[in-house]
Amino acid sequence: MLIAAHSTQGELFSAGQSASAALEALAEGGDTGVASTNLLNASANIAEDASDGPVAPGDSFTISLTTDDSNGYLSLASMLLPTNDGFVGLDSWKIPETKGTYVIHLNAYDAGTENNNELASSIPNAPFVTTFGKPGDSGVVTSGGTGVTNTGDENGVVHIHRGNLGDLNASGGTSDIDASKHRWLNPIARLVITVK
Amino acid sequence: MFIKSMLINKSSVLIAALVSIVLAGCDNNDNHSKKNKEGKNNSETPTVKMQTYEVTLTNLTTNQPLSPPVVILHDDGYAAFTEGEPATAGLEALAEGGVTSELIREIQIYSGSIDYALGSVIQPGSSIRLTIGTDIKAPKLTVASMLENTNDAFTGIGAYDLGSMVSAQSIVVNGPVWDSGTEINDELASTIPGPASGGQGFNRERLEIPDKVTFHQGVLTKAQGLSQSVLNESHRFDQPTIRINITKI
Repeated sequence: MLIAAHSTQGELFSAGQSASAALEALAEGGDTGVASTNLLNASANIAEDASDGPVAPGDSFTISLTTDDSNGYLSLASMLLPTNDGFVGLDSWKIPETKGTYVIHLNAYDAGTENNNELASSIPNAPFVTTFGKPGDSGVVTSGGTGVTNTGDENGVVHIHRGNLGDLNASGGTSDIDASKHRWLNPIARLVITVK
Repeated sequence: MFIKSMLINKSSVLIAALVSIVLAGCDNNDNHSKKNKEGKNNSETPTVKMQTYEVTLTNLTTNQPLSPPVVILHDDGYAAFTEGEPATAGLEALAEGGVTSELIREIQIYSGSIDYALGSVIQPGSSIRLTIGTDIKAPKLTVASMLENTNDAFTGIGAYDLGSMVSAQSIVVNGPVWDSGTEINDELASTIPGPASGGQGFNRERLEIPDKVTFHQGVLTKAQGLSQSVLNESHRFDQPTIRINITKI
């Protein structure tokens, strides 16, 4: 989870625009490193939730961020797992001058950089994806799929994710994603911001 | 759903600096003003300040071209559609076939204050920009555009209040996707007018039950087991389907 306060120069992504290499790495592999470096080079203030690892469904965390006067916009990006290149995002929300608590609902985006074939070989399959913190769960990323899609379905820019297709065949079918478990509808996250 | 919270410590007051850059050459414009009941037009009512809004529309879907959008600034009395109510003939034609003429006719015969602009098709991931002027001091904004690879889905925004906007202010609104409730969502090649098929668009028959504008349930597609569907998995969508950036000039 990468959270940053930045100036107009530090945009992480913009719907309708091609993803940067930094966003591509974040959305396809969960790697926030390049994006962090770029933001720091642009004098952004960063809060990274790397130590706690991925945030499981239903979980939450609180993090503090002290912002410079010049960094008036808040952005957030974190890969959505398991997907090919899905991420939850907030693009350049203007941080209010008025102290108080603000609530924003966040949507799932598709970085537009990778075909959504939904194959295990194309999706980071860290232990938390397999079990979601539930020891004994047989896992949700299966195998043997032939690929949901190969070409021609991506418009090449950041857009709202159409959702995983998935299937119910653990050892075949088109998708290696379990259709009964790894679907969603927007919004997928709630961001509660307290400006102090 | 994740629940996130964070604290922002702000050491001092931020300076709000909204910069509006207008590139007139990029406008995709077809602005129409309608005289009010008394027959007055802009030049005859110099005491009313002309408001101009720049509206940028971005298609957020994977593979659903958006039909030529109708962008409307209007007073409190107009509604292009009302959730839970049957669609007007104009909305039906737009939602089923991307046909704007009937909706525009309804705008032109509306007795109150109303202005509109007509855009061009917005491909997935693309944007268009329209500039629209009005004499209405606190206008409402309505945008309507069909998701072309559906039976009768449309996106946009209904009667969004722009009354509190100040000059040079920009706001962003996400538009959901509605079902006009006027055509069965059979996803057949013969009834989907978009590039996925090229079937029939507007048909006056109303066979869908209920005959009401509601939020859309999404498309099933052949990939999710509707064998008769002409759609594939790339035609699926989730809310929101359009981003509307509004700048008051």
